[in-house]
Amino acid sequence: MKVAARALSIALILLSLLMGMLLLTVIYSARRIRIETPTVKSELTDTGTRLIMEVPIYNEGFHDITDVELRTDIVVELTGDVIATSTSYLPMVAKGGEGRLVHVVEFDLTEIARNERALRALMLNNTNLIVVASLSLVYAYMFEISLEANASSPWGAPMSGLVMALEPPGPGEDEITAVLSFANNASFGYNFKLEALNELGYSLGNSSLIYVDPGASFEEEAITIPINTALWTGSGSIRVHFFIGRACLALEVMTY
Amino acid sequence: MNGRDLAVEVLKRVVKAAIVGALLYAFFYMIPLLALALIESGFLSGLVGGQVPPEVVRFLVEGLRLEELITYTAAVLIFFTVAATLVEGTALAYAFLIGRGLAMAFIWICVTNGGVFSFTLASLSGIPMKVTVNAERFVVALACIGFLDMGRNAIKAVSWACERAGREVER
Repeated sequence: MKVAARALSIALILLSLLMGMLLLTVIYSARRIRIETPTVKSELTDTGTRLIMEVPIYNEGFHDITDVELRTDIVVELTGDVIATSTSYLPMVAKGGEGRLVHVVEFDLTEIARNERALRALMLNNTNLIVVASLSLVYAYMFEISLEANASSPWGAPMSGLVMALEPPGPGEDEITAVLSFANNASFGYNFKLEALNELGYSLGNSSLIYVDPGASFEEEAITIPINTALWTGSGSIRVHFFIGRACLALEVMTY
Repeated sequence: MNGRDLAVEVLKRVVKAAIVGALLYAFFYMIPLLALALIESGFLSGLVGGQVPPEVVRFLVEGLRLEELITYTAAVLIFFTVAATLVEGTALAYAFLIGRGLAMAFIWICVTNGGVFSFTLASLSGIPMKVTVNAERFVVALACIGFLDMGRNAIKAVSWACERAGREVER
């Protein structure tokens, strides 16, 4: 029994030394990890923008870095909707080595269009886009570390402060006149057209295509929509079709 | 044992316990707290090859709650070890040593919040950053050391009891 107790004592001393050494080397090594400024490339896609970030990680410490995961969420501040999520993963950065984490953030307008609340907020309201970035990794196979940061950037709405009044067709007329006021606070230009629908959802007609420059504003601009009077029911809605790049987005903006 | 011998024995034990207590106090409380104060004041920066970033200092002090950890560890260690030294040669001494292992494991788990530390870096390029360190595996390993200490002292207690019983039988 004495031998067992002695063996346990030795094991205890060795374990304590091991844990102490591990802690010291982890603290020392953690200071020798360099995560350099990412290089960011942006490219336009058919329906939005793609950001490609390359994050160089230099591990000059004594322990391996494993399970490096970078996740970014883009959130519309006004509604709290997540409009883009991307995750990238690097299995390992060995000690003394380097790794490159390639992270692709895709801002796809057609994807956003699936969430009508977010689309409405983005098209009609100036708000902030919050980028929530979280990086997680396992260090020395023992310490799970996660870093989370938020950054917000202002978003200018393409139809900010939209006010629309409608003049219904008079007797014998076959067009609706929409009087619009708004400002394009977005950094890009776009085309749009108005579509009138009746209460059953049938299209009555479309206006011609109108181009809006970045920073342009419309003050009580009258836009006529030729309609098929046979389908006119006296009530319905007006839909705006945005053409941004090759993306086409539709949004109901008023009912009459 | 007459009264004088008893007094001498008690005095011996008290002196021994006081020395053990003072050594533990110095090594497990004074020196770690001094090191922590030096890290906070930036005095140790030269030794680690450059300025210790304030974020790292904040992580050590606020994130890891090192001061609390040092205080509780030292208190448990000093109390149980001094008590065991005072009652050395009795079954109670082993009970204190077993209790020390259990208390150490408990303290490590409780004070470190199960090994999960969270804190916010005030500013990194102007953006606040929430940092979470999950050191569960490390804390479990430390707790295992406490349990191992318990086991060792339990074996020692059984061994001591067996030897004592053997001596009684021989007598």
